[in-house]
Amino acid sequence: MKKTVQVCEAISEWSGKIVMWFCLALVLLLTFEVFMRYVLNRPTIFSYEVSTMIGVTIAAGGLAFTHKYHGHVRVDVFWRLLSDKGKAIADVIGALIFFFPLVIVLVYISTWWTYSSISIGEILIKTYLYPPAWPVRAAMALGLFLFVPQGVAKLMRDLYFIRRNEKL
Amino acid sequence: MIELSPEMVCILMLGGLIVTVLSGFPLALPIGTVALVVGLLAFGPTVFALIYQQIFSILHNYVLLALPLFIIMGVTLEYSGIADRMYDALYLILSRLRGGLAIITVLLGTILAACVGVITASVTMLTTLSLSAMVKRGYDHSIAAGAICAGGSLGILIPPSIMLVVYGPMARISVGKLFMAAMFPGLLLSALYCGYIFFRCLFQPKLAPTVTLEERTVPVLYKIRLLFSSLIPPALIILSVLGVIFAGIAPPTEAAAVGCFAALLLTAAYRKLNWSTLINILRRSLIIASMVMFIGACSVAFTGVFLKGGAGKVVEALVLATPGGRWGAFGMIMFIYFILGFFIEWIGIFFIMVPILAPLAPILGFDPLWFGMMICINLQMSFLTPPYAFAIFVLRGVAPADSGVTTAEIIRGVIPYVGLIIAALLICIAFPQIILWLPAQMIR
Repeated sequence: MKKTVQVCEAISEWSGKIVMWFCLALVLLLTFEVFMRYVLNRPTIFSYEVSTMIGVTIAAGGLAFTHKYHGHVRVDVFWRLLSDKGKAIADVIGALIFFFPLVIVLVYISTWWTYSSISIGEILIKTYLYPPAWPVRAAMALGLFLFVPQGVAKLMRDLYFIRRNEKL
Repeated sequence: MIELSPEMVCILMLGGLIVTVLSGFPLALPIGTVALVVGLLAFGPTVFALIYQQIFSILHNYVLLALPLFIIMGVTLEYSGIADRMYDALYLILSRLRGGLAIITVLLGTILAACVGVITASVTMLTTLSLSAMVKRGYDHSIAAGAICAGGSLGILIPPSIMLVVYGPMARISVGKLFMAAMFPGLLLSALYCGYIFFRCLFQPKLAPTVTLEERTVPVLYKIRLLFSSLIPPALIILSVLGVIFAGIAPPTEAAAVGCFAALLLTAAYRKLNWSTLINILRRSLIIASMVMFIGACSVAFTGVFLKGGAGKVVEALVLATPGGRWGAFGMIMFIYFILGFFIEWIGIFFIMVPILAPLAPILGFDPLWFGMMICINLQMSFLTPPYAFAIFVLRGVAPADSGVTTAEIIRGVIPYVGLIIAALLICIAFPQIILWLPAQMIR
């Protein structure tokens, strides 16, 4: 059990450590684009598509990492009043009702869309770059997919705390 | 799959939303689950495509890229130590004034608002900088906490702010125009806050003792130098971001990127930028950005199902049926936002309610820009009204334990500001030009 939690959280940690550099990449890319377009008057053709792809990667790829550091905001009006054990129980119930069904469905549909995007050779048509659509769809699917093990790790921690009354 | 009438969809979804969100589980997931369950009940598996496309359209969105960018900019400035410098400068100038430290807090909040735009960041900075300073000098705890919460919440209204970046695409209004529209209402609120603190302390001097003599003797030249070195850099960042938007040169997304770059340079210039700071900035930015975007994603899935189920028309009919003509309906809309602000994070409120309620503005004969700005000002209250008051949460989380500020004192201190925000709303109803003048001057 301890091993499983460690592996799951290591995945989240590494996904975050990689994805956070996309934040810097986004800043540098768009600053470069502004320089090229407004100073040199030579806008790049790729910045629009690449930056929105980075945006998807940040949003979806950061999910697991954010969950690991309790970054997803709660409306903790009542939750806050519970004891530590009560909080863990509430989180276990919440995970079973709200986390796994929704996230697994989202993984399923985003994987399906990625698959069909590849099979029909879908391209994005907002710019003249016409890039294939599947990488950005795959980034979203992958981010959601990595969200699952972090949910498992959190669930195991809560269950461990309920049973043994000590933190894993 | 069962036949659900639009009224049923409306009740199930809004009722389900309130109940599940109050479970205290991370906000985005209950919102998404309600969308999924009601969607499956009403439309069967075809709802999957709708939910996917709604989520994808939010994540894969050039205008909304400004959101992570402004978050990065805010977090960077938090680490740059710029707030410390500004606090010192303002302190030297204004500390003679009775209630000066509280006024400084609001002013600093106003300036930070213009460069940070993330409420967690600005309330955190204000708390670490000014709370213990005020408590140590014998300020009333309520006055101190109220100034921090209200001043820090300005961050989300005064441009560039992420609230407006969200409102724009949801209501199909230009984000640049919203930025300009928010300028004067934001300053109006700030002025009201300062005026309130000044007069309250004038009439109740024991709330805010003046500083002792030895703290005042600082050479004038030093004061001026400190003021310039601390205020010029943020001013440049604000101008570089807002100026290009105002002049119609670049859209907010690109302006935000330049602002981020400038903030990173500034942090480097202050010799605060090293490897571990950079990692910290990127980590925190990623966590906040991902959290906000995930709430957004689940909320638009919710709205997609809600509108497809015809419940938007139910809300519309309900609002339009409010007695008192168009002002009655306007009051109803304001009331809906106000009530939701008690329970739900503003991001959820925006992504869910704006697509449903914003189309009503033209029907009721209101200027969409003015209407949107009234909602943004209204939601200032959502940060201050318990039980779910985000500014109070942040303050309580950051405040050092030995400061002895209790939650009851914070809430007491914050309530007058709710009154001031309502006053600001009334002023903007009486003088809509406060909102509409500046956007009309924009180039393009």
